Parts: sequence; structure tokens; C-alpha cells
Amino acid sequence: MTTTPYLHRILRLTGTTAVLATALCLSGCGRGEGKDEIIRVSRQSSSGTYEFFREHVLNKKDFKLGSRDMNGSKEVVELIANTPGAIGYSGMGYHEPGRVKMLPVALKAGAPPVEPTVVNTLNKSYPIARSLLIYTLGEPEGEVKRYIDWTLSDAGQKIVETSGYVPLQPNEHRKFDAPAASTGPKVTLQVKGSDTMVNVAQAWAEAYKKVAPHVDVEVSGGGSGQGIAALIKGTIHICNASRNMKAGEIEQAKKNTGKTPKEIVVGYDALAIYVHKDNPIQSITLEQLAGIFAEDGTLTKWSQLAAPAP
Amino acid sequence: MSARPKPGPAPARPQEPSPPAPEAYSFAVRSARRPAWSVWGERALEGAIYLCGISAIIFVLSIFFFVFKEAAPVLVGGEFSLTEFLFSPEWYPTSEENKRYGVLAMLAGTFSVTALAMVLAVPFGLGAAIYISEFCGSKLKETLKIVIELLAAIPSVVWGFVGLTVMSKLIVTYTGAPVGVNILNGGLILALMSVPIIVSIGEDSLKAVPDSYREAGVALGATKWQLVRRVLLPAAKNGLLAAVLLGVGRGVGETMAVLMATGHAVQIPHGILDSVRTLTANIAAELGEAPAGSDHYRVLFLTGVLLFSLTFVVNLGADLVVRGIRKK
Repeated sequence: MTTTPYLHRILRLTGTTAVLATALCLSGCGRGEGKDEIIRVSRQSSSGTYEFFREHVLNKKDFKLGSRDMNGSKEVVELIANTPGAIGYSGMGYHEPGRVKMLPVALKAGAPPVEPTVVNTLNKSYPIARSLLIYTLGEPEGEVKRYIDWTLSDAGQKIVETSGYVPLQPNEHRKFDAPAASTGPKVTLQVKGSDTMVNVAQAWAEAYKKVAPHVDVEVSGGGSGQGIAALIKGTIHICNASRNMKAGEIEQAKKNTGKTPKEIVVGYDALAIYVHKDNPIQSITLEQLAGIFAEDGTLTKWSQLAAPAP
Repeated sequence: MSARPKPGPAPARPQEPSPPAPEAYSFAVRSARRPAWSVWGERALEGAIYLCGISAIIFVLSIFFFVFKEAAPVLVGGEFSLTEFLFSPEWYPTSEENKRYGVLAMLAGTFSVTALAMVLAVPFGLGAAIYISEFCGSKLKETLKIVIELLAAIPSVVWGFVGLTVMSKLIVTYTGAPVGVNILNGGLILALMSVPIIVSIGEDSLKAVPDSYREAGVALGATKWQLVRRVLLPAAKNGLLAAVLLGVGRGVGETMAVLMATGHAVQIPHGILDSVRTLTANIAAELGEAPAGSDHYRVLFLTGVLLFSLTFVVNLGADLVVRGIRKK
């Protein structure tokens, strides 16, 4: 057949492409190779967790560029579970035993590392514990107040616990007595904010449907920053936040809506440091975390972390 | 036999236009006597179609105006420098000490992901277009076309999901990369997304080459491959170029899939196994939280202007190339 010479040409073309592709690949592998590299997993800048970590671990310094910035608390844990050399931070409610492990954190070198547990969060020995907050514009009223009262009741706090977070102490719980006929005109409560709290907020919304069937609670995430921005605009009833509102934000909210944001603590979270389940590291100090994540940090390899024996 | 009557009326046809003058005359009279509603209706319809036509221009201009209007104040403000914006890789929009807005790393990210996607998708897409249009049988052709259209209909977030879960594991296993969400992942996903576009438009433009070209080629004794390379490809050049450029456009503009598959890390990549962040993904991730009217918000809009200009340059370049080809 006369086509045979052209077959050669096709083969040659394919060959060239393959060689080019391999060359590209190799040039990439040269840098990417090595499990020793610390893969930093961080959050997008609208996240309250991101700001909390920057303030309390990095001492307000900036993050080093080049971290993988995930758009949700769950994604952080998911990426770490798939990446042997990764380290990242996320709420303790997203722990997946068997896929990732939470590292005990020491305040400084030599200090005893502390596990992120309920007890250690409540007695404040875990160095990076924080409050889970909700904000409303002005004092909560009507259905919003009833919903918040319920989240602070025994039933609501039970959900905080089952979602993996630390509930309030029993003496902080509020009494919630559901009126016999819990009906009324249909109401929709808009809840937005922290990704850390999305799982607990959704569980609340579901359970509250049984307490007050006429109330629809719509929950969305996006990060504390987005929730606070929406609260300032006045487009939501309740803002979930895993960090405090800043003075500037409170001012803006007052100016925009004429109401002062009201802060309510609904639970606690130990900000957990996650690594892959096969990572041999046993514990980590705050200094080491800053060395890994901060802009001027010098720790880029796991071998640089001579992890102190716990 | 039943076909017999057909030729019957055929010879009558040539006779119809034989008295041309009265025919044309009567037509003119008839059209002049149309009722007013018909005349005005037609004019209104013409106007509506005209509006549809120029609306594209209005939309483009107003979008550009709006985006630019949101971005402009930061350009005249004191602290922001355009040089830093274009040539610094440091992106710290929410820093407490020192805010820096440099998009160089994200420009590099956008370019590298798009380039890799095109390197993979163009040969593959054009090859598939040539095969479907010239080589394959009609039954297979129909099946392939349906499947490829189906491929084009998969939403981008689903592609992103595939990249994040399936592809990233494969990449870690087979390349030894420390992390699976990187340029290679994003490039593969984008390539898979743009192949259907390149194939269907490329195939259309090959189909548009008149059959007489093929017949002439075959008559001159050309083989199938000679026909494709020497006759069809040059004849369909414009359409094929358009196919490739639409693919590039998809690559530059795609947001959700690359947001999920590239790792979203601000850094200038040194190899295809590095994570990057693209301009589009950055806007998508940060615009929601940036307080309206703040510098961060305006710089994100400026990024939009930059993207807009990029696509404009690509399209303009393509147009010039196509014109150059036409002149030849």
C-alpha cells in the first residue's frame, strides 16, 4: 500500500510528542520528588480559622506563599489524608480516625505536648483552643432568639458534642422549654459563615426542624469572613464565626445597620494540627508550626523537625 | 414506473420565467399592496433582530465599563502600584502588616495550566476531528459525535471533583509527586474539557470543505493521508484555528475545575508537578469576602480587567492570523 510511508510519518510525529511530554514530566519530577518536603495545607483568606492561626501561631505575621489554600475545613483534612507529606490545620470536628492523625501541640520546646481533647480544651491547657461564636445584629429577638436559646440548651449542646466539638459547661446551658404548640407563620432563618461550624450548624438546623417545624434554618458556609460581610450588609440573621469580629467590622456593622453585633459563645474547638496517618512525627511545637507556615519560616523538610520524644 | 410522471412537469419550468416582465410587475404590485400591519411588523422584527445583533457589542462594552469602573479607584489611589501588581509574585491581600497585591505568580499559573492543556488537547482534538470527519464509518461517526457532545456537557465542577479525588491519587501513585493537585492535574482536566470543543468545531470546519475538493484530490491520485494533509487541512485552516482558540479561551476562563484541581497555591511553578493558583480561581475564592469598596475588592476587579485584556489580545491575534491566511 502507498500509505505505509505516511504511517512512518505519523509514528515519527507521535514519537516526538511523546519525547516532549516525557521531557516536560522529568523537568517537573526533578523538583517535585521527595517525600521529605513539607506540604503546607492552609485555608483561603476569608476563613476565620486562617485568621485565628495567623494571630495565635504566626503572631500576626503573614503566611509563606505556596501553601495549598483549601476552601473548606473538610477539604483540608481530605487533602492531608491523600498526601503523605502534608500538614495542615482545621477544626477538631473534622477528624477522620484512620486516615489522618491529630498532633499533640506543645506551647514551646521542652513543654509537654498536649492532645486536642475535650478535657484539655476546657482546662485551657491546649495552646490553640478557641471559642465557636455566633453573631446577631442587636439582641436576638423572636424566632432568632428562640433558635439561639435552643442551640444553647441541653439538646443543642449535645449536637455540638456529637459533631466533634467541645460543648459548653452544663452550668452555662440555657433552659429551653418548647411551648406546647410550637407553630406560627412560616419563618426562614439565614445562617452563614464559618466552615469549621458548618457541620454543627447543619446538624442544628436539621434537629430544630423537629422542635419548631415552622422554622426553616438555611445554613451556608464560605468562611467566617463571608459570614461577617453578610452580617454587615444585613442579609442574614445569624453569622457563624470561628474568630472574633474585628473592631473595624463592628464599626461598619453599626454604621450600616444601626445595630451593634451581639456575640454569643456556642461551644469550643481545639484547632487541630493534622498530618497523614503514616507520618512518624509524634508532636509539634508552636515555634515549629510558625517555622513551617510563616513567611520568614525556614522549615521546609520533615527531616528538619527533629521531633522531641513525647 | 411511478417515477415516470416526475419528469412531466419539469419541462414546464423553463417556460415559467419566459415572460419575465409581467411576472416581476405583478410581484411588485403585490408587495406594495401589503397591509400596513405586515409592513410595520416586518420593520419591528428587523429592528428587534438589529438589536439582538448589536446587543453583543453593548454587553461587552458595558461589562468592560463596569469591571473597569470598580477597579479604577485603586489605580489613582496612592499606595497601589501597577508595576507591583504585574511583576510581583507576592499576593498578601489580607496581611495585617504589609498588604501586597502581586499577580505574577497567578499569571504564571494561568499560563502554565493553559499551555499544558493545549499541548495535550490540540493534537488530540484535531486528530479526533480528522478521524471523525474523514476516516471513520458513518455508524461509528454518529456514536462518537454523541459521546463527544456528552463529554462537552459535563459541568466543570464535576471535572473539578474528578481532578480532586480520582486524578490526584493517580498522579501521586504514578509520578511520585508529593501532592496530587498541581499543574499536571489541572492541565489534564482542562484538556479533557477542551477536547470536545476542539473536536466538534474542527469537525464542522472539515465538513464544510466542499466535496469537490476531495473529488479533485482523489482524481489526481492522492492517497487519503495526502488528501487530508495537502488539501483539507489548508482549506479548513480558519475553522481549525478557531477551534483551537476556543479551546484556549476555555482554558484561560475556566474557574471551578482549576480551582479544585490545581491546589490553589500562590507560587511561580518550577515544574508541572507544582501546585499553582490561576487568576480566575483567585477571583472566585476571594471576591465573596473582600469588603465592597476596599483595595482588595478593587484589585480583584483589576484582575478581571487583566483577564479581559488577555482574552482580547488572544482573540485579536487570532483574527489577525486568520486575515493573514486569507490574504494568501
